Amino acid sequence: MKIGILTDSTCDLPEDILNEYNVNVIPLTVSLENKQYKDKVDITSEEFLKKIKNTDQLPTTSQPSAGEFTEIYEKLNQQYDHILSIHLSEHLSGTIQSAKLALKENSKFNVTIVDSKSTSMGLGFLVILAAKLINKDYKLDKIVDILEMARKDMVIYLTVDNLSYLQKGGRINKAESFIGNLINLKPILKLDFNSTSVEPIGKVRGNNNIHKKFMNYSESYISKNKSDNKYWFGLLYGEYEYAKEFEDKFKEYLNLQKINYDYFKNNVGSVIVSHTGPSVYGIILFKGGKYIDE
Amino acid sequence: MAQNEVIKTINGKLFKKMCYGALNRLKDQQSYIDSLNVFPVPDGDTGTNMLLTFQEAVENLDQVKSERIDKLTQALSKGALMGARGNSGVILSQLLRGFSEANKYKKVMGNEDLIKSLSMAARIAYQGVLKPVEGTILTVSRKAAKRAEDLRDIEDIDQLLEKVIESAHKALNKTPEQLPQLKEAGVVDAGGQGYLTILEGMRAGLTGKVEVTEKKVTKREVSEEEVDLKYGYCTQTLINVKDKSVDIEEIKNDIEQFGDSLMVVGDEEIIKIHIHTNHPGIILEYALKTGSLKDIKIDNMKLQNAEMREKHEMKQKEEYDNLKDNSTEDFDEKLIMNSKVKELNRKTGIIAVAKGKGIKNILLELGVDLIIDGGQSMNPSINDFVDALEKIDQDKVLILPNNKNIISAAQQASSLSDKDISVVETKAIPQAIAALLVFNDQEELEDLKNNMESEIINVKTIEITNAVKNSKVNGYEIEENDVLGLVNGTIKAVGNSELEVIEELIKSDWEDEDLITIYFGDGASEEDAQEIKKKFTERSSDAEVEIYKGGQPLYPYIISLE
Repeated sequence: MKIGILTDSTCDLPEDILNEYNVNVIPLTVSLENKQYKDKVDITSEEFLKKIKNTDQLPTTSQPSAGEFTEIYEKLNQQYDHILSIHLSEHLSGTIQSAKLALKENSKFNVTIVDSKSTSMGLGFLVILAAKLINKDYKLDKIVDILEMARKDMVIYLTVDNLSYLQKGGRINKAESFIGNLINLKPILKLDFNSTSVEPIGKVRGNNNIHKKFMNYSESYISKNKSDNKYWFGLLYGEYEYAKEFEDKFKEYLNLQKINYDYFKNNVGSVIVSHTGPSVYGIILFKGGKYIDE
Repeated sequence: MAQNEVIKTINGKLFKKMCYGALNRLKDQQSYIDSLNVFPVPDGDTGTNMLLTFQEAVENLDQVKSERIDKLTQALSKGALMGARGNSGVILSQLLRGFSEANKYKKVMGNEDLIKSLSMAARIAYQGVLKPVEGTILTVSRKAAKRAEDLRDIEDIDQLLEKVIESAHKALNKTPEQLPQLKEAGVVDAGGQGYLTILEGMRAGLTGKVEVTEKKVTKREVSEEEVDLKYGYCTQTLINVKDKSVDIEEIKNDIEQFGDSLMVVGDEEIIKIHIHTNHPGIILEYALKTGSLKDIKIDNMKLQNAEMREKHEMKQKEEYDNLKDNSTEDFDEKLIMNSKVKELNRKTGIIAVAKGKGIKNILLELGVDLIIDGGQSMNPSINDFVDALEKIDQDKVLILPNNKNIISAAQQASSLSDKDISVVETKAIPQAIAALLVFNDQEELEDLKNNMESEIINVKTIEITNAVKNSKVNGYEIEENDVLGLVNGTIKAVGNSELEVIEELIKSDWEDEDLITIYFGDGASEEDAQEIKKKFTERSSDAEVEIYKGGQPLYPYIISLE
């Protein structure tokens, strides 16, 4: 059986990886100053960053429509026997709802929807895992089982310079968003299998302290998930300059660990930047190798 | 009263006289007792705290119509408990509580009762302190009580007190043997001296050697007003502000040197100034720099009679209070409520003690519900905490005292309240800031306290201040006005300039710090703080250094290293 993969534009995988694994992408839409752009189709992440920095208006985002899903499923069903449709968490976007709607209206499609319970490179990692499993000729059911198990092992930690984007977008609850901008506080945001939103789990003062926190989280992830297989670690960022100092420390730290790992980095797409602002950066931790025995 | 009459019992009237006697004597000795503080930093003045505490005790005593000893000692105890400030005030309140408990159901006090009272006082005071230290007021009270136990055959209370005082004095003189810090500084214990002073004052009140009138306490303000003509012109003006960034605190700082009774209120557009001064011209010239003037009024107060003056001042005060209500938040206010957090309906409320507009602002931003004005040398009373606890909506409350001398008052207040309260033992503002970062409304009080206190350990606090007197501490010969550098409350450097002291501390106390925060206060400027920042970045280029305007008095710099 020939299985194809569809994901959405929030997956934040670099172009070469998408091509390598033949991954198809359905774009979400970002709107700014009354103009709509298909994420990563009409506008690159870099161009979008420039635009939001030059306006005081806040961007908004919208999920692909059911019609757009129908269109792409139709096309892919001609190439593949079955489609794995892996997307960002239902808690964060209506994308999966649109996909489900498309399926409801067209029962002929051979599609299985998988909620990654994550987004950005968390979603991306699951997509890579699926592709690798397909390459190893795993059965569809088995692949879905593994993806649903693996997504529980994934965690993303992020920080932003200020919470204004998250607050205005309503992606963070009010009580938690109460945080002082007066004293240079950095929130720590977490997204994992259990999250129903991007949850603020703490705050620290200063860059050095947030770097330390991220390193501590990595440390405890590694010790809680002991594995001889490869860990997949990722660095995410809006504007790279916010993340640069951290990346140097993070790489140095990972080098010192007695573990196998692959390291990925990429900037987050327009959709995520719309909700976090350009200052976002963070890490993604995942013991992906365990599921394909690498 | 006949000269040699023997006093065998103390009735209500006599007891009141004894209390007035003690209050008067405390007033006389206040600055002497203050001067006994070992630490030459402007903080927790024992004489002042004991006087303020005893004053509230006596004010409460005055409310009682009954002449029964049990009622009166109870009122004294309750007043002290509510008014207690600083550690010495809290211990005094415990002594008075013991004193009162010994007199339950007593109409008058005989010699045996007095002996029992002194013993109970000492016992309750010991119980009230977590880790009793010898060589303090506790020791003096215990030894005095022990002596009293041996004097049961002396019926004459005056004679009894004389011997007790003798022993208290002896015990006091031995305190330097018990506490090395006292010996080094060459002083006796300040709290112990306060206790002796109170005993002496009580004896004086007993025998009528001091003339005490009942209204002494409340009358004070009026009589002060009558002689208060050091400054002759009541000067007022309204200013139409030209530059919106003008800071009321700055105006206050600038002109307070020219007089007293200063009031400055207003907002971004209009500011009103009121001051009693001998130089109305200087005030008006100064005001002109801030904007255009309106409604200028200058009264020669020497030509007004006292009554007119009083009326006039009352009216002024009212006017200013009204204006204040309309102006933006006033940071001299005793209590500041945080309206922003109120909307969140949190389960746990947070009360913090702070001084300085900048620091208060930061604490409010970090989610403190209510700020009590106070800090070094301005210790809030138990009553201030009780008030705050009543005002706060939540039934679960965390208190951040932010000063070692305020913790015990906060703890006493929490034992008086029906609410569920936890006192986080923060001894400095940077500790409060670190503690607030780990606040989580979902957690239980005890967990919160633990989390916060383990966070505090990672923060080192440097405080820079000026010595208020000559002293010998920690091997340092300190002269008045020397710049002192304290690390977590201990003097670690003494010098002539702030920069010099900070450089020395960087040498001696550096431990791979990541984040350094400089809060500059009164008497320091942003430029000075930048100079200090340079010293830190020279030491480590990796460290982040942040500068904030704290606006705290007496301490030009509070610096946290973490």
